[in-house]
Amino acid sequence: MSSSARRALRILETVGAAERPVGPTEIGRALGISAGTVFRGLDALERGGYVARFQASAKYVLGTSVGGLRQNVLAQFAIRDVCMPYLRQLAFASGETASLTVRLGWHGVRIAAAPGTNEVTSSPPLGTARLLSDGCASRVILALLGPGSAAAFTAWAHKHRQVVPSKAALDRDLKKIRERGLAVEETAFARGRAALALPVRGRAIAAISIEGPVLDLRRPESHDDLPHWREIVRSVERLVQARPALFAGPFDHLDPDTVVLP
Amino acid sequence: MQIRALSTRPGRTDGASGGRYRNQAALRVLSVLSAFGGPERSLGVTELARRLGMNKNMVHRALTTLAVEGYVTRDPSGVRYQLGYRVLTLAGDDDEFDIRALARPVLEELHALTGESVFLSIIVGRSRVNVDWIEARGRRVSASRRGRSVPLHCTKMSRALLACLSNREIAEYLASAEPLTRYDALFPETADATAQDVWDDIARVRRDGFITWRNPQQYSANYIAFPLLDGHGRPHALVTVGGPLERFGPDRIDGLMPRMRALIAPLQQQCRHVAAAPVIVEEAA
Repeated sequence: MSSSARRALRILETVGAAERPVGPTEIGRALGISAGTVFRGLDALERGGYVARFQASAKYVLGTSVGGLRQNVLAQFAIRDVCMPYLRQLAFASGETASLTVRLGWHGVRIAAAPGTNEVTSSPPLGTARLLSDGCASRVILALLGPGSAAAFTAWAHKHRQVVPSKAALDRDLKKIRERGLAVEETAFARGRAALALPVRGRAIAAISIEGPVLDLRRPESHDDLPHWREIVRSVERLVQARPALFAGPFDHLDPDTVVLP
Repeated sequence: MQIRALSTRPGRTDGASGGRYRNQAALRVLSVLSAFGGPERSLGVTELARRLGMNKNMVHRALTTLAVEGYVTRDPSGVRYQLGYRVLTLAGDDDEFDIRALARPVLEELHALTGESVFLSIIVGRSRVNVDWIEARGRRVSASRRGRSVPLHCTKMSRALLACLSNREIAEYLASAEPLTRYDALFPETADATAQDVWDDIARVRRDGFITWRNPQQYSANYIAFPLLDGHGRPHALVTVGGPLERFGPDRIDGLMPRMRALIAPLQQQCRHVAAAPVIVEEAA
């Protein structure tokens, strides 16, 4: 099938992944194709509103069509809107960005967030997908998915050549998460401090995270406000347990093994 | 959001080459993807072909390319197509509606204008939660603990938010919150309330578009609150200004009213364009 279409999609992904506006030469270098070929792809993308010129320069950023399609997908997760007020409450109670992660194949994908009050933040964009072994939100989901899921995950990861921890190390960590009812992740910019994720258990498993260095990594359960945060997440849990339809996502019908993300 | 329709007329020329537009296939695939930017959750091949003026074979091939990449997937019926998960991972600027960020400048201006404490509250489940505030100096109305929940019938501030729900929701909430005096020890300002007292306050907010009240329990504090609603009249949040009665009494509130309203009106206008988060007040089992 048409390689020019695939090339256009690769160019689109490159523009999306770039942290600043990018030009044809830079994109061409990243994809190993000529700047002229990139330019033709950019032209098609620009016609569709998928990319736009950055301040009338020769560099490109994502266009409005992308945002529209993303919003369309996000809007199909019913749990997202329902969760929003609780995320705002958590963000204000903790000062840090609070987010919601749901399962997508063998990944956790961040679909909603309420910004914290702290000025310094390093939150990833919505739609960021991480392997279920990667990060506290993903691991909470993996830990509570049910028996056999860790083995199924590891098998999938090996088949797709994903780098994951050893089965033994993962099992040890998941056991600890189940015992604590909470997963922690050391924050890169504040050593010894940890972000956390709490499970939302219902028809499926989701995770609500506080993405800042709020906990002491060695004594994560000692934080005075943890019971309050847990209570907020439990409210969401009660809500989705009473209304299982809130947990319905647009990709529930897909076999997790077939979902492949970059 | 509007997704621009793409022209896929054959023979469209590319300025550089002067010949047939060389990216026809890419344009076709992108225009098929754009078709999923509308309100329909799923689309069939025939429908797409008709809408885009392509033949079914072209549409089918475009969908296959998009499906391999995860940009579209089959829907649960297995016949039609829906937007795929790959779209999510195209990180864009989300420009998410953030009521706190949006309201913050207005809270600051209201605080500068009045010199009093200013609060932003939202409904979380069956409660009001203050999610931002600016506290005045000296003798002032002080803020409660960060992120604390207050039931929707306790305190006038909560009732101002409750008033933004439908009568059915309010009746359901009040019935399930019985006895209404359960939290009187925590919220003495509205102790001994009956359902009728709550309905009276609701009627006042709805009539005036704001509510003022005095709190005899808290050093005679005086308040005024303005709801922020979406286009369907559903509540985003509530902005409240409160101060000690001797400084922020009814006369001062009256005097400041036009300027307070002028500060809040643009924010209220902005809020109308975005749907508020759903409120589910029924008690979960």
